[in-house]
Amino acid sequence: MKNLYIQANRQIHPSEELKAQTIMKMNRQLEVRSWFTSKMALAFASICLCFGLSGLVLQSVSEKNNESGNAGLMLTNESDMGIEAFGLDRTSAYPAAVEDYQLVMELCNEDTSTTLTYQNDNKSFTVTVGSKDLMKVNEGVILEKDNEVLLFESDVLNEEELEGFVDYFR
Amino acid sequence: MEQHQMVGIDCEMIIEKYGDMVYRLAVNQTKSTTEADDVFQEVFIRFIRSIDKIESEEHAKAWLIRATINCSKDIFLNAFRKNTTELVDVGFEDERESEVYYAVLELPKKYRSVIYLHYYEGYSIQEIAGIMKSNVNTVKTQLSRGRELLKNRLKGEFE
Repeated sequence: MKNLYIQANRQIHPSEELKAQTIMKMNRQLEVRSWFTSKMALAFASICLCFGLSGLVLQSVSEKNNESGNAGLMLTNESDMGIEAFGLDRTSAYPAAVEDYQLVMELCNEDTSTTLTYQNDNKSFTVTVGSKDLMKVNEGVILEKDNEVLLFESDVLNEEELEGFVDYFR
Repeated sequence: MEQHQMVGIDCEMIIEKYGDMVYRLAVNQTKSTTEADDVFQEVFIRFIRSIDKIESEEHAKAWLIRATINCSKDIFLNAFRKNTTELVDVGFEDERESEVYYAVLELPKKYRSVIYLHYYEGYSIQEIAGIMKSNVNTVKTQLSRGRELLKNRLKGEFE
């Protein structure tokens, strides 16, 4: 009986057509997998590249600040637009009154505005440069020119420091 | 032999090696060559999707057996297919072979798979329990009851 069952089963085979169709579908599945894997790898590589470049930029800013020994305002290309509207260049665009402050990071970097944060041991303040139309202009506005706004936001700097900052730009 | 160049997986070799086993088990489970065709394709496509998890040839074989049984169950659960199942017509050369084969097909599904795996694929009761993720005693009972039913139907020992 057992042998008859084995012999009967041996006569059952998938058709060649079925095998060919299945191989084709399997290969297609492999191509999809391969495509997906390569896209994932590309996306991962892009993310790594972005993080790598960001790291390099931050490192560069940090190194330059350390070299100068004071607060250096290193602006990216996007933020140059706003700064240049005030007739300031990259190296001089930080106020003497706040030269002891360290530029920490750019908080945002949208199309037409850039926010920079300075801080020392116990104080910090931000300066935002950008288009008046797009920025939320409030009491913190300290300078306007050609529809560009330099917005100063701080509740920790004293009056003397504020005046020094404003004087610098005037 | 066609080999998939992108990832080095030879689909034709996989089909040649395991195709008969998957198809026979699919027929055993569905009792229909038409449905076995569908199960066959689905199982191998699932296999390719899960190929990263396959650790060895033995694992591949066990995985395919499990997938074939599960896939056959999925098809059986489809109400439309349940009502349109056609019995397999292999056209066996020997009448006695035909008698034994159809006697096995008439067994309840749980006995059919155990009979096939034990008597055709040569798996031990422990191995079948491992593949089916079942208890050894359960498999032993299923095999014993399946054999008993066959003995009554075929008027002879299934050994």
